[in-house]
Amino acid sequence: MAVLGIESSAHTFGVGIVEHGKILANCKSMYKISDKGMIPSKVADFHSKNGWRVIKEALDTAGLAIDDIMAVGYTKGPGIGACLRTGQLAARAISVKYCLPIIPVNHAVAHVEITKHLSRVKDPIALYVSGGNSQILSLSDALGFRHYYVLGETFDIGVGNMLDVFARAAGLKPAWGSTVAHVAEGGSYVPMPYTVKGMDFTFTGLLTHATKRIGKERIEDIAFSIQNTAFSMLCEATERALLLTKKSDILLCGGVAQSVRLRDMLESMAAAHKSRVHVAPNEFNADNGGMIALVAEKMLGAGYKFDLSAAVTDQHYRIDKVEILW
Amino acid sequence: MVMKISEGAEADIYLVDLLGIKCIMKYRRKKNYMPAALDESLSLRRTRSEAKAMIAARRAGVAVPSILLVSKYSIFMEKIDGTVLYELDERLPRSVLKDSGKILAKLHNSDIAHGDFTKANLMIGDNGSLYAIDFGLSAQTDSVEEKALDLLLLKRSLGEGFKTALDSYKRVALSGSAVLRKLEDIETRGRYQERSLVTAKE
Repeated sequence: MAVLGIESSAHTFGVGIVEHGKILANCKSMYKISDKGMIPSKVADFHSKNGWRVIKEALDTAGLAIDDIMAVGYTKGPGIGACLRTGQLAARAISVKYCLPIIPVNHAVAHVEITKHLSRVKDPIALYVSGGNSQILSLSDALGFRHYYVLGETFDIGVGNMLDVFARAAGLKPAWGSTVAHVAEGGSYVPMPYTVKGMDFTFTGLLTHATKRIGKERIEDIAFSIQNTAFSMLCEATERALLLTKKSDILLCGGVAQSVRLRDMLESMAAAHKSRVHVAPNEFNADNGGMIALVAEKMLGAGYKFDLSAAVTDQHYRIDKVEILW
Repeated sequence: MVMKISEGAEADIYLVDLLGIKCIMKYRRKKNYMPAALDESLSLRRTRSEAKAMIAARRAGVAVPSILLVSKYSIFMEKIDGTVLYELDERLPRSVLKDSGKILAKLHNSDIAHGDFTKANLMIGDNGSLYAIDFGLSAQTDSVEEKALDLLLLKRSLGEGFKTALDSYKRVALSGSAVLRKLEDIETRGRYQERSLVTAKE
């Protein structure tokens, strides 16, 4: 019997189907970002219009009927409230209509777990970087329960969000981090603020500085420098975490894990310490339903007791509050 | 005699013989993953500000290893025999917790923000005194925010013991109440207020 997972924390409505750890389907529809970023209510409207189509597409891809599904997982948080609620509503509707257990999944746990699952690493540290999040994580049994301990994280905004906002300010289209990466080719380094505190870091100072340089310096150089400064900060903080925990595997996950430049830098750092970097295929770095289905199946297998009244959303659902039962 | 004894995130620690004195050399190795100009400027700036901060800390009455020589990317300093708090498994004695708060207050009174004030960077010397080490991320600043971040890191690192440390911090710090207000402000910046208060090792 398979588990269906629904992801809707931001611009992607994703539906995945997993059976015994095997991903049978991973379908998605993505809200097209204009040059103004995301307006939560519009993205939620988009999801509620397209959601059912994606669920059906996932079932068709997996070659299954709804009767073959034994449980439904959805993203409880963290994410954009209005978007989370569309996925939650879809999951609740399926749960109630077909009498299936409903399982709330933490989005960050899902990113880490899918990458861990696909790369078959046992005990890594994880660099989770996306639009809204930037964290360095490691499994810990402290405080009496197994959870992903946050070794370090951004004190303000996520690295992806920073690059997106810069892209919009610079008038780049589409306004994405990957466009910044494209423009950065052929750029050279100009000094920018660099802020690492232990294993934590901040990005707003860098963003403000880079935005103020627009028009005063070559856009290639600014793009090159904002990207490389931010990634250097992430790599340095991760290097610190690696040496502190004495582990030898690094997981790179989340939307920004798609960045070739970040992978190269992290691999170069890891090589100096005889460590390895593991990254999932890009369809699992971007937000996706497969990872939600995978974690829902793991939770179910570990004896998670489902409860419809616990099937809520939480915009600020922190990864270190989640008990890892498996 | 040059012997590498440990690798940190930004520097390697060597045991060296300098004119017959056994000492520690902290060498900032090249970080190949960064743009060379960024790496160079960070290493130079950090070596220089680390040395300056250690000298200022000593002047402020904080026990730190004494500096013997500073070169472009290296600091040669006195070797302290002792144990880093992070390596201690038992509960920290009250006196040590108090001293950690007192040390931080003295640093802040001299406008030094340590930048990484955790159990990993506090050492009990075999002579019994508590040393502040690794000023690699420190800054000479009167910024209340930087000082509050020091407190936040200490809070996360000490867990329950932080209360004791904070009491002695408040007694010694000149602008303690402003720093504490800032700490509350930082902690209410949404996502951080619930961050769990343990160190990775526990």
